[in-house]
Amino acid sequence: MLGKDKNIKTRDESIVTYGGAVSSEEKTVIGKQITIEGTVRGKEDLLVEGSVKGSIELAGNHLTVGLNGQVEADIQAENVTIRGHVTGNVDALAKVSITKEADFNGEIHAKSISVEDGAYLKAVIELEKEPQMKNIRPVKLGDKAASDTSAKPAILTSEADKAK
Amino acid sequence: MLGNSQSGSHLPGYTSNALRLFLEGLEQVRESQVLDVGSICGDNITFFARRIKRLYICDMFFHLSRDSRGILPPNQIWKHLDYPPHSFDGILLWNLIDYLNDSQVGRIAALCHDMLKPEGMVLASLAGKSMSGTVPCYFAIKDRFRLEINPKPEIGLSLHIRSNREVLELLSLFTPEKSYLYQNGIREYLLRNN
Repeated sequence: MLGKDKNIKTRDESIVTYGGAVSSEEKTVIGKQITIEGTVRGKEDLLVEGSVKGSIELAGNHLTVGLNGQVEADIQAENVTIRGHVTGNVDALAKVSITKEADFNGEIHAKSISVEDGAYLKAVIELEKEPQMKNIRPVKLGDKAASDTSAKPAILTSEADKAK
Repeated sequence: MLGNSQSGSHLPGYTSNALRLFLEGLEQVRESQVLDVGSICGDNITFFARRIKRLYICDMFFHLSRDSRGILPPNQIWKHLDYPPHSFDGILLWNLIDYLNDSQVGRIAALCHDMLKPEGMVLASLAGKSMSGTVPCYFAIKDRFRLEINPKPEIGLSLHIRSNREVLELLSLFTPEKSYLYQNGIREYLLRNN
């Protein structure tokens, strides 16, 4: 069992579980010098500054991959913040946040996402859709926003040109 | 003076008609899939991820920039666009063509042609020299198809200025649907794979 702020190290493929009688504000840290191969499963927030290869399952909790974190894993959590290097698929019940320092390669399924400009992603992103998002109000060419000084472009080609 | 600059941007923005048409086209498709090969921009990711089924991100500016510094052998860059044929309903080429030579434009056009589904669309935007000389920039989607233009950090790539005719010839694998020239000098091309 792993407790608050304790570093974790396992040599062999294993399942690591943690999160006993701790408050929701507590966070476990996998430190820079720690490497875990296998499944990390728990019920409290987790900060990864070390290396994890395998899978991470934090139902209802927040995973943060820190600046030094190196994760090759499929991730399930409530919220996921990526500041370091992650390769794998992320399944978040709520939000995925990716900061500009991040290097992410994989798929993201979430309710919402925020990405800072400058991050590196090679990603597939699929968000849970809310019904009202289907109603996108189109900009009519006569609208003010579409007809202000910057928005009335010259049309260079059109379908009519194709017939010529 | 063109549109208002937003915070963090010193370049004039504009309202994109091609983006509106691109999105309207995607709305006709069930479970649409889009590939964005432009610079990573959080606003654009959020905008498209909320509106389409699946958004694919592959920042070719990043790869081109690394390639130009000799980190990867020339032409290895294209391996990043390793998507199966007929995968996408739309591909976004934000400002990318300006930073490719003719051979590279031909290569990416052929790749896009393969990756697009029949009737799929390409949206290509070209800032050219319109934006403060040759400062590289990226487009960020704001409210109601308004694009904010933000300067990028130096990417070490040469700018290739082309006429409208030259651009369309290089993209001749596609059928041009609409092209726009804005007062701020930005050009947009909406092309279809048919």
